[in-house]
Amino acid sequence: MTHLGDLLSALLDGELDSAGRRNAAVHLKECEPCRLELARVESARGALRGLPVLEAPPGLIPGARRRFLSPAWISAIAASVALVVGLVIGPGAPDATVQLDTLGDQHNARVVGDPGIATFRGDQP
Amino acid sequence: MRAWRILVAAAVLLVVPVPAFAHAGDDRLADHLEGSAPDEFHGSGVVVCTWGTDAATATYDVTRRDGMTMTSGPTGEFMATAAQTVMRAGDEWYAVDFADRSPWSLSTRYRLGPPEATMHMGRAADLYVVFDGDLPRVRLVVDRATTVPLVTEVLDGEGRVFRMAALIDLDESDVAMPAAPEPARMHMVVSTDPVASLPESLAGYRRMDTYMAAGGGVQAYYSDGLFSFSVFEAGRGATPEVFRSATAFGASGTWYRRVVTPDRVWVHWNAPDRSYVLVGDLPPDHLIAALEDLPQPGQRALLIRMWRRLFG
Repeated sequence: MTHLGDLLSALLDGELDSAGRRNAAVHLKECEPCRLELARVESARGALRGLPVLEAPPGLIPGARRRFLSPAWISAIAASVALVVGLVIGPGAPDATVQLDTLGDQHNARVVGDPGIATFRGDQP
Repeated sequence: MRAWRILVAAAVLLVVPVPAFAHAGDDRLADHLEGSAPDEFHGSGVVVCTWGTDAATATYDVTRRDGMTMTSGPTGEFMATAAQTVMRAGDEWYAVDFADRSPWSLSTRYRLGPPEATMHMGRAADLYVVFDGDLPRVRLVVDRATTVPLVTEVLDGEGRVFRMAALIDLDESDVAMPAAPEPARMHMVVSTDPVASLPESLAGYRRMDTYMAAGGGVQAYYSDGLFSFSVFEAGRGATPEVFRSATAFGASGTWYRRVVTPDRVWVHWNAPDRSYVLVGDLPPDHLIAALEDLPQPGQRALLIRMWRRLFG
C-alpha cells in the first residue's frame, strides 16, 4: 500500500482535484497510519495558525530599511539564508546504509542454534 | 562477498559445541521446544504474518533425517545439525559459528495449558495454548502420532493472530535424504563484542550475547526462550530504501517504520548519533515494549548537521 505522504498537506490545503480527494478519502478510510499522519499534520498547522501576530516596535522597519535595503544587502541576506537552509535541510553527502540481508543472515544464524518458536515449524536441529 | 564475512576467519575449522539447554520456565513447554518432533519427517507449509494493514506470506519446506534438518523458506536455505549451521548465500554454502553463545533458557512468564483433542489434516491432534501470564500467546496443534506441530499461531496482546504457520503436507515415512549442500567452502566465526552498551534486558527478553556485526556495528541478541530478536547498532546512516515508504507505527510517544515479512518484523530508526535495526519474530506488543527501552529516534543537533554538511 502506498501512503499519501505529501498528498496529506495538499488535501488540507484544498489543492487536490475532486478525483484526488475521492482517492485520498478512500485510502484514509482503510489506512490508520495515514489517518494518524493527517491528524499530526493538521495539529501542526493548527499550532502555527494559533501563533500570535506581533507588532513590530515603532521605528524598527524604517530604520532597517535605511540600513539594509540596498540591492547588495538583499543579495547577501538571500545568499546567507539559502546557505543555512541548504546546510540544515539539504540532503548533503549520503550516509552509509545498512545491508539488511546481511543483518538478517547474521540474526538467522544465531537463532537456528536455539529452540524457540521456529521449533514449532520443525526447522530446528 | 558479504561484508560481515570480514568478521570471521575463513577456513578456520573451529567447531563450537552447542551448549546444553537450560531453562527455568514451564517444563512441559521446554520439552516441546527442545525437540518433540520425530527424527524423520518431511513437511511443507505456509506461513502468514499480519500486523494492521501489513501482511506477508511464504511457503516453506522442512526435511529432517539422520540428525540433520534442511529448511527452505522465507529466510533462505540452511542445514542445521546439533553442532553446526550451514547457510546458503547465492550459489555458495557457508558454515557459521558464533564465538560464544549463552545457554538457552525459557522465561518463567510462559505456561503450557492442558491439551485438548482435535483433528487436523485428517489426523488426530492435540490443541495446546501457551499462556504469557494470563494472555494466550501461542496456539499449537500438535500431531498425536508424530508430535510434529501442524499449526502454530502466535497471538498479539489483544488475542489477534499475528503469525500463523501451518503444515499443508506431512510425510514421516520414506523421507528422502535432504540434498546435501556441497562442502562449505567458508567457515565463519562471528566474534563476540565485549563492549555492550544496549540494555541487558528488554521487555522480559534477556540479552544473551553481543557480537560484532557488519560495518563495524554491534549485534545484541535477545531471547525469552520462545521468541527472539537482534538489535543491530551502528554509526548513524541513511534510512534503507525499503523503510522510506514502510508503515508507520507509534511506540512510547514517537514514530517508527516497520517492514513485515512472513517470519520476521523489521524496524529501523535513527537516533541522533546511531542507527538501529531490530529484527525478530516477537509479537507486536512485545516489540513495542522493547522499543520503549531502547534509544529513541531523534535528529542530530542543528550545529552537528551543519558541520557534517560542510565537512562530512
